[in-house]
Amino acid sequence: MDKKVEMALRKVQKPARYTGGELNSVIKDKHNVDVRFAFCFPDIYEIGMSHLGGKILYGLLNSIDYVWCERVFAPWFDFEEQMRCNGIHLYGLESGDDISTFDFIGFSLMYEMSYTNVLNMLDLAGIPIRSADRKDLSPIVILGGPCACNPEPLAPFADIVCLGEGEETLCEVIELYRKCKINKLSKTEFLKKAAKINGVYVPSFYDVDYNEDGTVKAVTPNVSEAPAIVRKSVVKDFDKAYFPDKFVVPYIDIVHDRAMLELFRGCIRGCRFCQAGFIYRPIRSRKPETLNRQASLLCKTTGYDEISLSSLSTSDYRYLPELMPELMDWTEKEGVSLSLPSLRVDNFSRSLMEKISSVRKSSLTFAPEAGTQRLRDAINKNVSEDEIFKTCRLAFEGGWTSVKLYFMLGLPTETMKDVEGIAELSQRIVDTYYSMPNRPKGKSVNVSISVATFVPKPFTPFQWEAQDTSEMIIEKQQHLREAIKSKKISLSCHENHTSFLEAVLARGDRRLADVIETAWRSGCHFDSWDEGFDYDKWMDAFKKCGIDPAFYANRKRSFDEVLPWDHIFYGVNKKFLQRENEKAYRNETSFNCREKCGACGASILTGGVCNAAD
Amino acid sequence: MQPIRIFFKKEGRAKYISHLDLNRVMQRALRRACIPVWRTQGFNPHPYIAFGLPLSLFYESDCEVMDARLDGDMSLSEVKKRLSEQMPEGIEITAVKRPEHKLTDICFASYQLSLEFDGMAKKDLEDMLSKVMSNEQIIIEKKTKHRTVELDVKKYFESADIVVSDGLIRIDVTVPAGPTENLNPAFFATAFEKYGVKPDFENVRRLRLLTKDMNIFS
Repeated sequence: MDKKVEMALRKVQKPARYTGGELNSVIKDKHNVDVRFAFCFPDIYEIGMSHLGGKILYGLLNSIDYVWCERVFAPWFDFEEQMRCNGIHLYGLESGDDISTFDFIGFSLMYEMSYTNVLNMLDLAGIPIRSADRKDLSPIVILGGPCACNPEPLAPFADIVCLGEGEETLCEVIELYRKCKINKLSKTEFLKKAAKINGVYVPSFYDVDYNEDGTVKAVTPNVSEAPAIVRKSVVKDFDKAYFPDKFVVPYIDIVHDRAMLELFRGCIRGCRFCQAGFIYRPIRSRKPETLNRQASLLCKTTGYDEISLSSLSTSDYRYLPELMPELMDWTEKEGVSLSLPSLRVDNFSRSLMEKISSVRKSSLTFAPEAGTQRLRDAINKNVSEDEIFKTCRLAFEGGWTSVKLYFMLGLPTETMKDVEGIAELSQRIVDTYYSMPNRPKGKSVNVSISVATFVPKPFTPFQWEAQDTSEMIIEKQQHLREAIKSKKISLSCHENHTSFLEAVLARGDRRLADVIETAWRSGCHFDSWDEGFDYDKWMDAFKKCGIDPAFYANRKRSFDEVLPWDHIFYGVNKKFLQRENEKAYRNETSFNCREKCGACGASILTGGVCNAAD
Repeated sequence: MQPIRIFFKKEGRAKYISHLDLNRVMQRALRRACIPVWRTQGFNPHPYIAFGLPLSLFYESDCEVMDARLDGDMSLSEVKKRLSEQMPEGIEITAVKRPEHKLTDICFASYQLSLEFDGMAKKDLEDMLSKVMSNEQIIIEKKTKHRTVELDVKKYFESADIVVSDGLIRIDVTVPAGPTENLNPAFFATAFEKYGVKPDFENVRRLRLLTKDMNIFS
């Protein structure tokens, strides 16, 4: 290890974030590889290392002989200061080498509030932040992840944006790059070839024109190689798709420190506010025997004693009744526990509950999202009051005494009556507990409600909606606080300024790039952390750039407006989203995909494959 | 049930693994190695392991100790072989034995310190060292859980084996260690800073653990 780094490590918290050397990290001989890939996660080690997508791509890229993929995370403030004072460049954890010499610098965009960290990490690597200032073939800055579905605010910084599932696109891009490098092609020549690959979006090949009112007029390709509409890429055979047989096992405690399985991709529900529910379509699932094999292999190679069965809605996995006994056949013997995040209240069964509690009793969390049935119908969260109470009763009978509920404020069509509904629903859960003769003896109930602010997102039926202003949200929060009478209910509300900025960035266009750069230059990064977020600096940045953030966050769009991401295609067609939006205003629910296909159109990406009914 | 004692080195990148994290590293390694260790019988069963003297972050060691109990048939050489295969970079199993002493028998530990002084020649360092040693007392502050006590460490300067070269002072020293009295050899750097010159960098390596009679702990 470099002496400068070693000295810096003595002065920071949790030095093991920056040392590498963990079990199952991949070490290759740099002289024997053609392509070096820095897989950057724009947040700290503990969060980045918990991310399943990163583990999949790390394993996949390193399975290619000529590629060496290394991990890079955002250094926390203390280490960043050391790096800047001592001239340490951002390095890959595996080799310790400066990533500015790498072929690819890839970023996973999981949330909007990590955008300034992308710029900061490029800067820490000593790389010009704007694509136009990087003239050479390498490094190529490539972005991906869920936020890449509207990459426009980051367009000038990226060379390539991978739309959709990176498993497909990345390998093709890297193979092409390798050929171009051998043949000494220029960056532009490489990008023109890359633009033809499905799922590859090269922002510099598109010009954006604006109307006088500030809305987008048109986005048009400026080279013949770039398609007018760029499609996301998807894994067609999910059961056979690559899944790592080992995870890098961290030394320090990270957020999700366990083995993880991915049961299925996509979601049958179509809750109208939920971006994940639309951008991961069509639904593709894995066979239980595949999952069981992967689980057992992962436990062997990592030594983990916990497996998380992850997906967007785990109880919707059709083969859960087959999978659970298969897993429990060996996990119980070996002292391995199972955790099932993302359960729904409507199909949470007694037998499922018993299966979880036989291993370890974790807390129970449900997301009704809205306080009244009317609003739950409008957002298509198909959960009824009866189901909520049935589940709570089951849980109380099973020995749980604390329930956590997630709600959102500021949903389209919401009134104060819906806000009060949150308090009423919570109160009735408390009452339910005390009305049960067989409740856990001598224990008090605790209902904690967590209230977030709704952020309208691209590719959802609410992509046209206005976000409530901060003033409106604060008023609603206050109203809710006053409506809660019981001490058994605890309320926590999200910080509003963050949600506002998220709403701006989520549906932003290219003009926001200047704002992001200005905010970053004035010191903003780690915006998702209290330690980093500085709302005033952001507002100053908007002012300096002459941009009104409310135009992006609080303005309702008409259906015929050209949206900044209209040239990007994620499978779900716009007419379908519009129909869903209109239904919301009629308080009409839609069937889930298993009950009846809603003709969203996404299966066009897989040649008709959608496992929703399966 | 058979008590076993595992001896290992911790060096290189592994010096950044904290004591708390080491516990997790070992639990998982035992699991991967499929070694039949006795598990605690509580609400959340996990392999029972206990460590000897905790090692400070950034210190290397030739003589770390971990105790476990075998619950099933497996030879000690098999345990060593399996566990060795599962160690992360920087941790090396040196021996697996039946314990001779109790963990509480640890009374002393020997360390080697390498203190680096950038740009100081051997002569300058010798002068600095004799200036420090000329003090009647060498007082450092030692923080305990509840209070800070002042401690005269001159006797350790006198008993230590100190070698000076260009830019480097190397110290071999034995200090009290264990549950009753424990002294971290970091005080040498503190004393140099207070009475002479602050070292620019410090490497510490634990060489051996000793019992009350100065026998090697095993």
